[in-house]
Amino acid sequence: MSLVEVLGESFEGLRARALAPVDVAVVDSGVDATHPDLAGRVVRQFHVDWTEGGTEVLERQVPECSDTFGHGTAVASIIARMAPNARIWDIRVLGGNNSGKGEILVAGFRYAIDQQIRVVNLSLASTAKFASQLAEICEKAYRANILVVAAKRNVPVADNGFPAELSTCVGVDSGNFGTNLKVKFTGGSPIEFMAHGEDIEVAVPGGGHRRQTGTSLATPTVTGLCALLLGAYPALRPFEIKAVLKAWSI
Amino acid sequence: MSTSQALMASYFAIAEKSPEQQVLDLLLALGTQVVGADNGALLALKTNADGSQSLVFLLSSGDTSLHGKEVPLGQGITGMAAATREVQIGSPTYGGVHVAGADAPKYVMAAPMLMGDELIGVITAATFKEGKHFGRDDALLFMRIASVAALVIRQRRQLDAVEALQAAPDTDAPLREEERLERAVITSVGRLVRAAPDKLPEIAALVLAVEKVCGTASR
Repeated sequence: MSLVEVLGESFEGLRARALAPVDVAVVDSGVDATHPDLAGRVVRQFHVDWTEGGTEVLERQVPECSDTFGHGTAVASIIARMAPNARIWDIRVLGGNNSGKGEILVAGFRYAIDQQIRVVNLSLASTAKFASQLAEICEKAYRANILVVAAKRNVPVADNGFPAELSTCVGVDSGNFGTNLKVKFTGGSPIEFMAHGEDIEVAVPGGGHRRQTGTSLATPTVTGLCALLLGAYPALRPFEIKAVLKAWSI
Repeated sequence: MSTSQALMASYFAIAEKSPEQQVLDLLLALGTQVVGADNGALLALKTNADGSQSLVFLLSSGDTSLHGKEVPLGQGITGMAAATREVQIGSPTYGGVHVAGADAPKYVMAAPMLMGDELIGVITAATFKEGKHFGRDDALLFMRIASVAALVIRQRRQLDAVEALQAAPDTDAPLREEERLERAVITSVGRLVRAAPDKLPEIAALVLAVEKVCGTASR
């Protein structure tokens, strides 16, 4: 496989082809694996527990609804729709009384990398407090040929959010492009790409759908596109995937 | 704009017709109008006895029946904005507040009110118009309004703390030895920092090292 050969393709063309399965971790609030949109698409489910001694990753039965917020189900449904070859790993790090605890995010993210899951979707952002730990995990991911796709904050306050700001990630912002088969290279920002993230139809835990807007929804769009690419060209490395995204940018 | 004065006083210590109340009213009205919403609301974070958290409606533009109603943390767009500390936009899914059907909003935007890392509440904008939705620019504006609202509440709290300190009875009772030493240490560290501000990292490292030796460093 040469990069020139890949660049001759398009996302539309890839979707019409038979693709190899690609494992994708959704590190989020859990996933309703019983939702019709996700039937048969979620292969493993985990949640991270917080204890006095630290964190613990526990496996759950598949399929079940592990999502208490609806955020992870929304994200997973976009990936499932974008990439028919994506096999989703649900790793819940948000939810319950410890929602949003940075240590839990770090533990869940690290677990996804340790499991060698090919693509990791993080539609969430941590504060700079955890930046060094997240940077270390992202570096490990990069060296292991694992692609990390992470969301910029919807409205940045002090920073764009971590790990999205890190160069070892594909950082994603949201825009309105009218199509989910295109990305835009932002040209210099630490957040290198934008994708369609406005008024997207997503699955809701328990059944049904709603419409939602934000970087959390643009990120799985890019994750889905990357899963398509990797389904056709499994040997692609993270920097090559970024090069393809840039080359196909609008 | 209508406010549940009892709840506003209880959660944010903001009195009726106070400058803070008027600024919050103005911010919500302004934000709602600029983003083209039909309705806006301000909710406070409530921590329940079992440790669970919810958001309580204190202020709304029009619908007084919302006052006192609660949204569990993580539920719907509003609860998700609180849980993720991010602006969230989308069609509502939490049915515990509005009557379903024509009376329910079609699209909602919610922005967290933060004091540093601490979440104190959420402001929301809602539209009842089919096809209307909020975008990126609306989110940017609404988050800024939430930041200013949080600042107003923070300043009220700080003023309350200062006033409480001033109102505290002046006692001539002699200090206990521990209190005397504590004050001496604080005064000494303060003097060092003022005298050599460029050495602040070293001074902080030294204090942390002492804490570590004493086994009192919690994080």
